Amino acid sequence: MNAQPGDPSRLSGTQRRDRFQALREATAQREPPVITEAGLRLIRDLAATPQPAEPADGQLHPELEQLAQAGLADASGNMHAGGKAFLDTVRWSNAHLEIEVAAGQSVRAWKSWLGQEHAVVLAQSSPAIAPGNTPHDVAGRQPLTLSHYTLQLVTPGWVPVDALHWLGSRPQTPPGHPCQLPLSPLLRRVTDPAVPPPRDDPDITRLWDQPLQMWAVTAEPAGDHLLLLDSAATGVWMLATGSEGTRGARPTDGTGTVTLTPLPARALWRLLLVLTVRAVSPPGARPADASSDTSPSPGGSRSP
Amino acid sequence: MTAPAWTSVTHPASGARVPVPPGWQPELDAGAPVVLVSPPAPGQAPGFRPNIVVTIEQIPPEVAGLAAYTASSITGMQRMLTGFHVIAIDDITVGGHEGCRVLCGHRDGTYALATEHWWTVAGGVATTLTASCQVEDYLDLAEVFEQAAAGMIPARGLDRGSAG
Repeated sequence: MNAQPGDPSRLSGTQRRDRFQALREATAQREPPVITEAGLRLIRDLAATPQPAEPADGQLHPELEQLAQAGLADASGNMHAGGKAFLDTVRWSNAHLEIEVAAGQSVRAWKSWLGQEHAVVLAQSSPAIAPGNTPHDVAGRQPLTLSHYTLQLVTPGWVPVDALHWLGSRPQTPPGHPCQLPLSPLLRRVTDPAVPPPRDDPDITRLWDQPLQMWAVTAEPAGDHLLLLDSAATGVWMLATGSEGTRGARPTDGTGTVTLTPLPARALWRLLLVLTVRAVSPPGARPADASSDTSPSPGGSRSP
Repeated sequence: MTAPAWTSVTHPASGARVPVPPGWQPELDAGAPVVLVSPPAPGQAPGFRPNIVVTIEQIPPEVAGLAAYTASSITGMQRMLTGFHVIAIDDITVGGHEGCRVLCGHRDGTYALATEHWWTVAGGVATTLTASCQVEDYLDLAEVFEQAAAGMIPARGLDRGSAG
């Protein structure tokens, strides 16, 4: 086929290559912008007041610069389409999924708002335990000095993928059975590796020797609240207080016992999917809690 | 050695005809779009399979003209697709009718996708050929897409109850 000069229905090789380059540039995966909490507050304020009065000390400039670099607003404080899409998605979202990961003195957050067409994901630095991390590395984590978030506007289906990516996944060999532990030493162990295991049991000792961190997962409006333990090489565990069977726990007082149920990687993925789908599904149309395999139920503790 | 021949499929409810590239699998249903899927290459890792989809739709009066239909279609894609960009819009002839060729890019999960659309509006019916592939495959497939679009015969009409 030969392109005719000036015939846009048949492109020349040069025209194709030019369009191919334009496609590559337009669809390249870019690093998501980083926004501080002050920048997030500014987005909210800009929606109400497009031209904010600049404080006398000029403190507004860094946040405005962040928003401009992220393509959310211009340097004068006028919101761009990207900023409006971000704010509208958060404001009119159908569901909110949030994960907080606590290790040592540090709590890191991943938050998402799911709308019908888009979802917003805000995430602090990933808390994923790296292969070389020791129990002291993780228990010694300090609060983030800069509270900043990466911001992504994605399709709703991407939310559980991003959640799992943020939490991290690694080869793991959890014991194939649940175990029971007193809650108090477990909570103390998360911040202090010197706390001894509560009893002499090879499985518990193996878990105790790992870097540990707690995950709190919340899905609204479904009202799911789950508590999980990430024990690096011995896997992820769902926590449930003694009387609740497979239900999740909210150990506010740190007393009593807790049942740890191993959550294999596939079951964790499925759990995130179910939480996402259930959060955005209207009551009565929600998928069944448990999968057909041995995944623990995401029933957790529910808001009334 | 003769190159494998192109064939064609005709959508029964509308009369739209689409050329089928050699080796591509046509999927045809009276109430659904015409879908052509490229064959998986031997040894190729699972991924996004290039495809061509032809849709035929009775369009509402407010988007009856080509310009209005084009604006409405692009706005809809902008709303629905992540990281959507229009790369080029060309005024062309599609099956002898005034039409439009639109090249777009967007992201879908880990994929960067190119979608190229050819559409025309005739008698209140829009016929659209949408060819999709990963951006990295676009240069290899652009000519195949173009040839399929060049040989497309738009819908004559649309049987009541049949949606393309």
